[in-house]
Amino acid sequence: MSDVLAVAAVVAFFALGALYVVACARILAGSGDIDAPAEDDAPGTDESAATTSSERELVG
Amino acid sequence: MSTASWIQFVALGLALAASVPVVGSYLAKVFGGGSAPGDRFFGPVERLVYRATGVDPEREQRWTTYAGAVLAFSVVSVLALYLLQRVQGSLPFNPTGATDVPPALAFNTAVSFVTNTNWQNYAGENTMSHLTQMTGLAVQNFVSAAVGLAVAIAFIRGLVRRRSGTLGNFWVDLTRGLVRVLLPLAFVAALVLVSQGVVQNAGGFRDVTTVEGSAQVIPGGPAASQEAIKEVGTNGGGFLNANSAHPFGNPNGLTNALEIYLLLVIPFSLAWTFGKLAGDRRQGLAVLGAMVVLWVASVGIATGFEVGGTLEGKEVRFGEVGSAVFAASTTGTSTGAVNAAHDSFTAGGGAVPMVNILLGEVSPGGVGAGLYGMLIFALLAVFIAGLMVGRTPEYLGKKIQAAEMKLVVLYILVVPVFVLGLTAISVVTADPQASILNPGPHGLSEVTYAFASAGNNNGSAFGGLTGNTDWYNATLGLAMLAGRFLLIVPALAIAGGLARKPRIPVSSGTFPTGTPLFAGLLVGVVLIVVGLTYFPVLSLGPIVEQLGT
Repeated sequence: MSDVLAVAAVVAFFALGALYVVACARILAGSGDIDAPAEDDAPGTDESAATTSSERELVG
Repeated sequence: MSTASWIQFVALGLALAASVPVVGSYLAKVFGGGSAPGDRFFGPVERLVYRATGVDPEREQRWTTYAGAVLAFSVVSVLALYLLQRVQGSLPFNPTGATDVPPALAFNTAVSFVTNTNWQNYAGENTMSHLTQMTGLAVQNFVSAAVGLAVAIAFIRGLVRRRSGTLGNFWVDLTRGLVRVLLPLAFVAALVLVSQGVVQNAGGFRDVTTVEGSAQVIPGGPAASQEAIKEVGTNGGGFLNANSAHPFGNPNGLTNALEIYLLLVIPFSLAWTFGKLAGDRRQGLAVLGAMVVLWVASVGIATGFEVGGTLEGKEVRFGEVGSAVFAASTTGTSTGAVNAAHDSFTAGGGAVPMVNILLGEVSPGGVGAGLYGMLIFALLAVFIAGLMVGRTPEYLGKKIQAAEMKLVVLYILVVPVFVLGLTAISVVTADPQASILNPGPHGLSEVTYAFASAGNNNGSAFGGLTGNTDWYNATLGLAMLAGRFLLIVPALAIAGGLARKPRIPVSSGTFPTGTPLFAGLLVGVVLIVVGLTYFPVLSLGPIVEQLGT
């Protein structure tokens, strides 16, 4: 291993790390429900917090 | 187990039990905003640092900026440490005449210390100048631990903040962790170690004549200062090649107990800090309980295998119990310091450090890294519990949804991919095979241990593997980088996503997470996830070896 290779490997890894930040941000952004209102902000609008899936089926 | 061993173990437990609330509460005040003990002394120091570096302490960062700051700080650290090693032969304060470190080894070492791993493919006293040890390696011992601490605090903020776009300021968290936590604790610890005979001087090698009349070369240097932060910061990189087995670094039973205490105290205390910052002490106690269960179990199993096993590779002044407790603790954290040769443990006893590392070091884990690792498992646990009872998973009032779970899975899969992938390549390729001292199951254990240790940023080793080759220097370095930064990024992303969420009020559908039941579930998730991931390689390594003895 030479100096050039060692330094290039380090720089390349951290450049990929920056892309990794972008990828994780896209995963978060893709969820689409981060800002969905919850019971403490808009009472009655959060249907999943305290409702079982079987109850939702019955309601549906 | 002798009475003395029992007394030592109980004393260690009591000391930790007494310290955790105090240190945990102190950490909560340091990072919780508002006033904290020592403001009059530490405040001016911090303001001086902010002014010199141009940091605005009032300016908070989004998670992407926080992660970017971690990466930027770390890449500069790696390159600076690499450069220092490459030119150390031309620099002053080199009484041992150390030459420039070769590129591959310098790469491995720079990455190793910046990632808080401290894997060492060299003998400290023979390879590194005092200048490199003091201004490079010891400095990274402090700052790499402070980085982990900062990320853990940011993760807690993500869990407890509501509708917030920010996680704090990385530079402020880094500075406060260094100035208010690590430096004072390491300073006091170093003084105590010096009082017990740990070496701290500016000298090099000395030629002496022993009482038997033979010649011996005695190393000197600033060992105590590095020994202290090596444990406090869960780093593990020894000033001396024999690490904590060397009498100049760990002279007696008291220093051995102190070093075990030092490497455990901050990681355990952070669980308490989590409870304080969450405003619900039970949440912290549940996480702490899971950590304690895993630690006590690993100590018990390691001790059970080693007592009556063999004294090969152990220091007589520590004995079997002192070695086993140290091994379980140094691998339950990300320390990796050793006071015995793990390679010489019984197969079952040697499996304990390996499993501890493979668990992701959450019993109680490294400074900061242990807590956010355990909290990631907590998110997975509430998700599994939610699946079992058909409810939307919540943790601390935050809904855990698809995005968080994708990031959790990313976090959990990265390390096994690197550990198992690189191990597989190494055991089927000719050159890496040549580094294995013991063929067969133990050889597989040596290679697996090396990549597990690197990938989980531990740094301890099964000594039989010759790691100072281009292949292992490069691949272990890659595993260390991945195991550190490819986990920090998704952890901060999860925190950033959760911080933006509102808090859902507790209802009859909420799964309580501040209970012994949840602590048990957490332990189960940690064991099952890791057991399923690594069971095949453990079967072919330590398990088949133990069955064959």
